[in-house]
Amino acid sequence: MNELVEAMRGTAARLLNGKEVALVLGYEAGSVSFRTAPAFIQHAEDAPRLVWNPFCTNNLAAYLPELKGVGRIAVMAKGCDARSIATLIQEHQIPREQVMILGIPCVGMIDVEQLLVAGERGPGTTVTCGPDGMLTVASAGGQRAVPLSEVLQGRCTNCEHHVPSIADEVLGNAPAPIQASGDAFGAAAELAGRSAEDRRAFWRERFERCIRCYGCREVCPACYCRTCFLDKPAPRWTSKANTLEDTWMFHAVRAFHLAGRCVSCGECERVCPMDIPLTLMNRMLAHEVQEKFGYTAGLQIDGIQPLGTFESYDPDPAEHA
Amino acid sequence: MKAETKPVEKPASSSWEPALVAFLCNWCSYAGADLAGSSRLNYPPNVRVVRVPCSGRVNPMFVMHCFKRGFDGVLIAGCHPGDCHYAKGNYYARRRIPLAKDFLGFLGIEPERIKFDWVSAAESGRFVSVVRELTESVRKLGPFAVKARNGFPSLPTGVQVVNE
Repeated sequence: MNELVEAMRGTAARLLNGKEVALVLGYEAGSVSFRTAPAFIQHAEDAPRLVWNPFCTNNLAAYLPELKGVGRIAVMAKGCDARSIATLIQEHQIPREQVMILGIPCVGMIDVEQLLVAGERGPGTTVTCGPDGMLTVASAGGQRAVPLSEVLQGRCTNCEHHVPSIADEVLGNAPAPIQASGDAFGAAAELAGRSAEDRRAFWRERFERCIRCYGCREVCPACYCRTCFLDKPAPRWTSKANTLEDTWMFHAVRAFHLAGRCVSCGECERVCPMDIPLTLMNRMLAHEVQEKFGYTAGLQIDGIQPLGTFESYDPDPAEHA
Repeated sequence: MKAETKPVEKPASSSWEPALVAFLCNWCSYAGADLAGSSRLNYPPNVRVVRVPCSGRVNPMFVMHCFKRGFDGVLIAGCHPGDCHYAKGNYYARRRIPLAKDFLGFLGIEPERIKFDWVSAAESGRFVSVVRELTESVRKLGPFAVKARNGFPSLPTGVQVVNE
């Protein structure tokens, strides 16, 4: 882990000193040991601020559309982040030559809610990550050791792209990749197998919780529309009033806008304060797009996405002869 | 499509009739529906027709909006593949609409409430049968919004929570 941090700091300093990039996007220590904050490094002397640990969960690709015009940007990218960047390049949100992808082999990110009990989530708690994949949680209540593999975020347990495939440089040595233990589509398939009424009730219960904070939209690297359909005064597709049908409309349209584009980085679900399983919708759509059009998002920087094109032999809906 | 339309009133009694929206492409399906009318063919009066330039114009958001505003079913009809006035609009629709249908199914809207089909300007009979089929399948399922008191959409969230 330390070698990787050294490589990150060294590379950042080298790129900034050599004026190869104007900005390095990475992670720095957060206010507590189990959080990190995005770091915007513009000077080589700030490079030592960079850190790397299993709390570097933010998908930094989300900043790229806003940073267009500052010059070439180097981004520390996990496997999922690199796929987001690839999608942004493919959608012409940032030119390929304006972004330098520094791939970071990732062993998975920690679900803080799972690691720490309610009383522990304060500055009095220190979490240290050992090189052997063991975490040490030290708080007023004492010390305990937790294996990293037991507190991974859901998205990481079924991740198939630990090492970025699209990167200008891959930092550090690839660790032994954790085996995908979960089935990415499993939970969505389970829900899809239930009756329509059950599914409606399932989503009603989830969407009723929504407080319309729009965290899911703000954190999403693929949600970069200058004016979201939600904010358009006319036509006003959905109201900002917190009614069930407006909330439903917001989530349904947002998920569908991500069809064939979402890389399942899972940030929307992570930031959701109401624990709404938003990625279920994204996973279902990603699965359908894969089944119908043989396309997986984020694995290429060119070409047209499946809903922006067609084939003459696409399945035909006509039921009449 | 004007977004600020009044939701359709739903009588809760047995006099309930399915309320359907039909998005018909200007060049084929709308003309097909017109021909059905001028040929004095009978078809269920449950559809409200929205004329669109092309089936490719039908944003899946339109469909979601219909359900949000309390309609019970949606029909999308356009030119047959190869016959599109704009050469390829219906091919785009052929990818989008079925995907949207599957997705809405995942959210709990029965796939029988959404019909996507081709109706040419000469196929008045086909238009009639497509509308009949949709009306009948929706009638079997029952009202969307009212039934969905256990689903969505219905009253504002806060009101429901208090009622429970």
